[in-house]
Amino acid sequence: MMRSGLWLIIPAIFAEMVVLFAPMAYVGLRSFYDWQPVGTSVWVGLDNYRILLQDPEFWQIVRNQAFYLLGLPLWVICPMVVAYLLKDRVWRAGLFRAIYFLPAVMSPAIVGLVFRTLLATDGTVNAALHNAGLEALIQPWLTDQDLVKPVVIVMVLWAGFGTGVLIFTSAFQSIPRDVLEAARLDGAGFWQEFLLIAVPAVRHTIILWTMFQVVAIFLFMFGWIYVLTGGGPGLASATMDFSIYQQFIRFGFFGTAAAQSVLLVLMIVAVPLLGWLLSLVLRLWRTPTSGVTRLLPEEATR
Amino acid sequence: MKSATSISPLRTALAAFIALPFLFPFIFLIGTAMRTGADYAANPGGMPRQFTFEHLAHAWTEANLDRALFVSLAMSFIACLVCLGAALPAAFWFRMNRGRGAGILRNTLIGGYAIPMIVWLIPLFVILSRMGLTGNYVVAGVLNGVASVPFAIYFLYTYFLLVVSDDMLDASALDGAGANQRFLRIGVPMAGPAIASIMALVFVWTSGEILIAATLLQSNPESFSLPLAATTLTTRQSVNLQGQAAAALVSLAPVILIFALAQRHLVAGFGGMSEK
Repeated sequence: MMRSGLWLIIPAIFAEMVVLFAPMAYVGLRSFYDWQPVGTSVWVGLDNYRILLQDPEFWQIVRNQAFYLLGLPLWVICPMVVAYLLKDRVWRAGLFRAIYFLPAVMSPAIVGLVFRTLLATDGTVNAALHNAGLEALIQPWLTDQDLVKPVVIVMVLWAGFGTGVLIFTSAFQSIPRDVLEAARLDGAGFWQEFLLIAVPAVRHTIILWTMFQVVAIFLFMFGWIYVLTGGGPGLASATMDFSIYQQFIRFGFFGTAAAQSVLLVLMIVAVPLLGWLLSLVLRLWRTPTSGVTRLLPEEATR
Repeated sequence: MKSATSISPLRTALAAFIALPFLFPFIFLIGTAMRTGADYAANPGGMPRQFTFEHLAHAWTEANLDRALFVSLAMSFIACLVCLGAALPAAFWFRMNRGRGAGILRNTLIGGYAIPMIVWLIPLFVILSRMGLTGNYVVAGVLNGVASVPFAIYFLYTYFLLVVSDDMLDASALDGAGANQRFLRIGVPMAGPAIASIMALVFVWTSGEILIAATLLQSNPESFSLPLAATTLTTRQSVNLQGQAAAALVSLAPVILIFALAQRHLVAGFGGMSEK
């Protein structure tokens, strides 16, 4: 059976092998060499990894990456609450969802450019704050070591918020209406309804969206950092992918760039493991005696 | 008790308030890009009073944005073709073959999504430079298309699971249709809405992509995509904040147009991520 129509699958296998998997394996191999793309590469064993792990700049980037993960509660909770808020009794909820969703279709590079213009020290935001008499709030948003990472976290929230709202909206739609109506008849308010019924019912979507956001922090930050901050000030906002790009394209440290690529892949492999552990914890949280889960039919809790 | 369908002014006001941070940057951007230099210098944070197209026209010619717009459109079109050409038949094949071996292969191909772009791009850049294929937007379009194949396989496969039943496949097999015929007679005609979503997503992703562009296309200004042309322009010392705003505004225009045209398909596509 599997042999029939094999030509249907061959283009995808070929494309992914040539473009994604084989180059990744090649980088893995080259991480053990003093890689010189246009000369002779010499085998150096684990030296590239040793150099990297002893380099304070590498650890600064790992710390940045970890700092960005602090944005997770914000990136998950904000769209979830707003999706629930928009679920009913809001005039033109679809229009608001479309407005929130607009950044999702825009290039991070171009949006980065927009915010670089707005947040520049002499940019529009500071000028508007000055006009409003709020001089105390004027900040060098993108050039201050301590401010730049929180600013990036807020930018990521802004960019992903609409997609999150969309995804949680479709998840909330799977909760049976009669369960919510029964809760309302029992006098449950917005927050009780949200925390006791809605959140447990969509917890799998919460895990998936959380994991998607974590992976996105490793995979899709380049556009933002490249344009918005250039990794700076210093290395204060640099991410792994940006740093690998810099090492390779700008500085020509090919071997350590390859080793750093391997470490980035290992970090991404660790994410599903973490997600799995999280779902294990949540499974324990959902005990068989929980009133909430007994209220819901199986489809909604799955 | 209030009915679940009555409009709540408080909720609506809150939703409108949350919409402000999504609208203000664009209003500020238009204001900054379209004011006269003197008006901006007099009051950068205030309301615009005198308007001009000067900055937009300057950005358009300085960054060669008409060429960049063509490159972005051509690259996105190539990416859509490559992605669909590889992912659509593969997704249908996985719908027909749901055994253990096929499942492992499916997860491997979908797992390609988690390989960071920078990891595979570096060795490809080395190889393509040796072959003299950098600075070529057709190559960049192909790479963008393949980069989206894992997500497209996942998305189309999930869609086929919903719309193509086992009975349908069995009946066509009884009629003597081979795998290829089933793909052409069942898979292609039934995948319409999913194809539209994938095309819209790949188009948006490719036209906004910057890493492949900054790595592969940097050497040839004639092959600059819109984001690369706009960001390169803004690194020049001669370009002030208003020029940067103008370049960003001009580059956003095609995306906003695509958003308006394909909103429904994009929303369906992004909604599909929820099952991921």
